[in-house]
Amino acid sequence: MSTTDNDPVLDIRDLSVSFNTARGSLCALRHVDITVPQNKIVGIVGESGCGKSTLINSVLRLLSPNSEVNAESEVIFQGDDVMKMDNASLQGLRGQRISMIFQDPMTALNPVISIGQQMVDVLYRQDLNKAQKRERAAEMLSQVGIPDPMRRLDDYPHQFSGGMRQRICIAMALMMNPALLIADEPTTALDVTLEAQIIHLMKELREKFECSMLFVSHNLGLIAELCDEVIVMYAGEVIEQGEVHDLFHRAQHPYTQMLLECDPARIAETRRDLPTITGSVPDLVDLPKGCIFSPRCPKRYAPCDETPPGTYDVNDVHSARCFKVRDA
Amino acid sequence: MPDLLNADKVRVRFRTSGLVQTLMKGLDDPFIDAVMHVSFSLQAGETFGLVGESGSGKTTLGRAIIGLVQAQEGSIKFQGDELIGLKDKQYKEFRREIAMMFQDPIASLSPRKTVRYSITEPFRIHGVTGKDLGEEARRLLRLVGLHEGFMGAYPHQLSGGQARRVGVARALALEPKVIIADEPTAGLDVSVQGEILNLMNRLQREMGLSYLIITHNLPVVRHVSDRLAIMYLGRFVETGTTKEIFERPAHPYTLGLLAAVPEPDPDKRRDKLELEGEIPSLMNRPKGCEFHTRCPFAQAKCLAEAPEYKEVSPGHWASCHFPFPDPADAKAVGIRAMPETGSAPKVDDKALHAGSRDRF
Repeated sequence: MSTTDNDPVLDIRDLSVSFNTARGSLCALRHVDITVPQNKIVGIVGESGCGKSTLINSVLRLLSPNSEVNAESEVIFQGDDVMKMDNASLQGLRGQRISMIFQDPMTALNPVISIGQQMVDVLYRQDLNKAQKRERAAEMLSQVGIPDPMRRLDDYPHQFSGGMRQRICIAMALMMNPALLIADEPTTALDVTLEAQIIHLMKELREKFECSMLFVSHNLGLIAELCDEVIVMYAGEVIEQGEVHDLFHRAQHPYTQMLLECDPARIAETRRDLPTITGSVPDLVDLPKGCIFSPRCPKRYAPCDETPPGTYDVNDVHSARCFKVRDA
Repeated sequence: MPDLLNADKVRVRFRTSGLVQTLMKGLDDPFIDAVMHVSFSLQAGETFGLVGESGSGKTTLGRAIIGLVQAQEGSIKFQGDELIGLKDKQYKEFRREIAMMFQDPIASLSPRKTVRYSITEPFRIHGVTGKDLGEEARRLLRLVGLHEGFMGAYPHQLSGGQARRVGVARALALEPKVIIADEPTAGLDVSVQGEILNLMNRLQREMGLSYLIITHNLPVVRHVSDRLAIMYLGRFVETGTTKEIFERPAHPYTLGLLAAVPEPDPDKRRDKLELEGEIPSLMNRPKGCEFHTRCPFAQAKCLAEAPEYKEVSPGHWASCHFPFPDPADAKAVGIRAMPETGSAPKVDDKALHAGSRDRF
């Protein structure tokens, strides 16, 4: 590895992934460029079917057998290209250098193994004896705010509440001190009050563990609350990305603007008729000729239906894939 | 005119251990109270929101109204007719008038039946004859904005939003007066969420429906409901008009819920946590005010005495010894109404309860 302090932890360049289906090739990701700088939290926003899961699975090389990654694609993690790694290196990557927090803490833990054992299992490569590993596990549990951790190690997942289970998942993800933590909708299964607590915890832990984070969510409120940089995805493309304040206050892409308008939490005056984005996500087997969003876009004009737009800079920290930015 | 639906001191209890266990362990009460003396009414054409965390009893209350769980005490009246204690056969009549939309849209449809079958099932169950079911299915799909092609689709072929629409269509089949919607927007994307709510709103206008919306999504309920009840441990801790509750929340729990919703604006980040801890177990209800274990304003009186459920302003009820009199006080302790409206918060110390304020 030849990384310096300023190199990004994760650098995805021109990632395209397609799936072979009975109907033809389904282009789930197209020319995705994403950079996760060190010690930053990068949020990915997008609706169902925008390619968030495919993206995460590409980073961990967990794609299904019918997938095809474009030969140009590079996923550089700490200087190494994940796409060219052999199985042994991938094993060393998953769970150790990159770890993950899943959406549903109810199913992420094994119900018939005590959480202490599950946590000790994560440390199987570490040169520690069993007592030391247990101690380390208990220490992690107390870090995530589980009271009386030494005793609770012998408890099973069903003895914990949903919020507690997600805390345990976070503790497990951080046990190996990963360089990158991927959180896939970590609070969707939780109540608002617990959601606030988990987000608060993640903020605290981020200071302590100094790891970078890729935070996937469709909740704009959480993204605004937690992230430093935001990536907006639509139908397999990054359509806008930028620094969090810039993006929320000066959204350029019509899709991002509409997404922000749709959020009921942003609408100050109460109203019965809520704004929506008309139409639906295009068929990824049969892509539109021009801009991917043009069939639903209220602001489309001549070039939009002809050629796909490139990525144009709004300023140093903000870019969007929209002709309006180029022509502005 | 009587209320369309009226619940009075409804109590739902679940048995936690059997008779033998109860005797062996010497328990005095082998029951838990999932819903405790809850009263409310629903008028024609009105939307009533039930809000609370998981375990607050909101779904149980919804299920008790439609008779899926038995309420042990109190009364639930539909157009003046008592529902509690009815036999299944007698209940069936009322289920034509009160329909339910279940929480998980895909799981609530049979995976082996087509959409056409699922949405016309109410006709079969209630023995409605003399109708062309194919025609009815088409009519219902049109009503919820799905095209005919979905008639032969199976639930796994539907997206979350489409499955939700099928759920609405099925609930509407027998032209009910009340629809109980359990988490109607859970798991949906924001843009689709708006579509479902607009659809429900349109149907309400056209058909004069009443909704009982069970949810924990405060930003949504603020736009769609006329009145709200906030539930905690099976009790209503605050009820009132939606406007009143969002502008002048009286109960600290309501304040905590409102503050827990993150605002989609990076300039309004919260650096402190408002509500700590989790909802206590129903088997072990706290003494005194049941919220005192999580309440940042709890005082000696709250630990000793259960507060009365009293009217803080006309039509606005709360059970708190020290209800917030004014939203400015809420702001002074770092809690905001949602989203931020009006002028900058003014700090008025004397109106605040002294004590553990610094936890905020």
